[in-house]
Amino acid sequence: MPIRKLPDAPPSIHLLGPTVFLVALGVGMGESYMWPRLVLVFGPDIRWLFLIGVTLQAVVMLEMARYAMATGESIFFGAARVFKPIMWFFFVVAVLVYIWPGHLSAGAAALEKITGIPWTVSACVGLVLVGILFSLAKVIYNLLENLLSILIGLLVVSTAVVAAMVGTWSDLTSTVTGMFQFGYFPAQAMSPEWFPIIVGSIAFAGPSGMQQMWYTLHLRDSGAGMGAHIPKVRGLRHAGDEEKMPSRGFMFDTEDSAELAKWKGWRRWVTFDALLLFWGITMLVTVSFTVLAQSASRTSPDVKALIESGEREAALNAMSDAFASAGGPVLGAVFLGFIALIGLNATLGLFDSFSRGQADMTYHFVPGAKKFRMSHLYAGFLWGVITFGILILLFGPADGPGAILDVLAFLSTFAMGAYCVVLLLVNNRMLPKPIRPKLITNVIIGFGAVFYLGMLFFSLFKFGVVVG
Amino acid sequence: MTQFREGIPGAFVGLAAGLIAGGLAALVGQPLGWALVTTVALGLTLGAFGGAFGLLVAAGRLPAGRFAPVALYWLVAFPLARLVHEVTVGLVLTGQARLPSDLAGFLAYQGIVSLGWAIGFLWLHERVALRLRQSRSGAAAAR
Repeated sequence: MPIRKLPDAPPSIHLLGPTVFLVALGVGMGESYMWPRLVLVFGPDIRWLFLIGVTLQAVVMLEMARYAMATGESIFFGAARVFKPIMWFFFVVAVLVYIWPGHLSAGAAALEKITGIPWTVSACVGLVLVGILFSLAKVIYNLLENLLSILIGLLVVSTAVVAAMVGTWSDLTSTVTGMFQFGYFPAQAMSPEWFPIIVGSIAFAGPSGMQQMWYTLHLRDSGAGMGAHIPKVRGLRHAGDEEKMPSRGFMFDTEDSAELAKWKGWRRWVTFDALLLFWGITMLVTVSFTVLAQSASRTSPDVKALIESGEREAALNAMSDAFASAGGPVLGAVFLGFIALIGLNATLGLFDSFSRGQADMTYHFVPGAKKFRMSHLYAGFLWGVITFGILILLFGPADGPGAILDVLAFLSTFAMGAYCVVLLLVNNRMLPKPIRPKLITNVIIGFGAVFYLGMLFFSLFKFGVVVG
Repeated sequence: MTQFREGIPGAFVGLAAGLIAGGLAALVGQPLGWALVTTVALGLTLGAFGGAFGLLVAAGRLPAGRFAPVALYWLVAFPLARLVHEVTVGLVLTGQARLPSDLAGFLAYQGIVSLGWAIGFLWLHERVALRLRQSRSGAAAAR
């Protein structure tokens, strides 16, 4: 790779960064529904598995950042450097898994409960608005970072205020101490009914599927590390202003001690992001929602039954009603507002990330694609997924055809094991020795690969069911 | 006067939190009085503590650029704001100023929740402060 200067790192407290995308994508149904559900079924002690899942994801995030900040390349590009078919595997998985608009349904349904607007209407209008918004933006990353920062900030602040008003000391202590009951695994959890759900919940603790891989693209566009030397993706209206995209990334001089000092600054910055923002916020939201679910189940025993039964929408509505009866209608509406906000954040992040990832792989590896600008390819994928989404919302199954749902769930978890393997290969083979990961980091990422793939295949062979 | 400007972002975030809580209360049909008390009691106290935070940082009394001082500040300030809120709501609704029955447990719980609040506060504070700095430098350049 050509050598260029590494820019100076920002101070650690600099909170405005690409982690906001990972938080927007990662804080979703796993945090607000799946884990509170497991706590009601198995008790708070089951949460040690959540702690492992999220902590593992924080390390994965740091390692994704290592490659992206050192080279300005996405992890997809890194995968292609190792073995091109791996990258095409991720390309295909992204299309198969993320093209379905099912992720819109929970948020839009919550909005329907508050406003009365039918959820398909708000979802379709939302899709078109997202497309127009991203197409008009001068620099898409800046627009989205601004928007998501405000939305996530409001979510965190409001979650803290509501948890402060509703929860109790004993709910909180049981939820928190449950995170350290390592090894707790009741016999009921080892059943065909629950084991796949637990595997899915661990995989969905924090960012799931390919969300961590997309984070490398956001890091690059935020100008982190060597990403500063790569042009930013622009909205369709400003595509003509885009500078020429280089055909590969850049590397800094790792023999130069001044450059290495700057690198350490970048690693401190991203570590702060990973530990406080990503890990901290994910924990805060899940602990708060678990406290809320415990409070709701005390108020209304029906909620416990509904949550256990797995009827997501009914359970969310019942939780909302329980809050309303416990603390007034305001709490019921606030709860549904949170679900709608989480859905909106995830949708904004997902459409951008999907289009960004597919455009990046297409631009660099599809022959002839360089005739277009990256912004054109981005717009093509964005409007493609929006059009398909609207058609499916109106005429088809939102989550994907029932016959392939298992395959999609399998691929999503398999991709997580696969990216751990890719991380080990790119960071240890492609990067210069002074900036390669330490042994302990490699051990943790290796554990991640075994953990995701092992549990996936164990569930498949032992119970004949993929993740739930 | 210039120094007072440094308190604006924090005051804004605190007031916004109170407004969200009160606004939602009004939206879903809670009595207007209840919504107003929540907005005022919670928004004003969080806003006052948020503004004071900005002033302390500007005066050099709190170190800038680290998270721990922010968390410690709110560890004290957030439970106090919630206590003011609880007592005021009780006072307005029942006419009696009563402390929560388990005061120590109440404060301990609020203290732990304050950590989450501190992250959100800092996140929004930096965003609002950046906006204000940009608009000020834009106005100065225009002059």
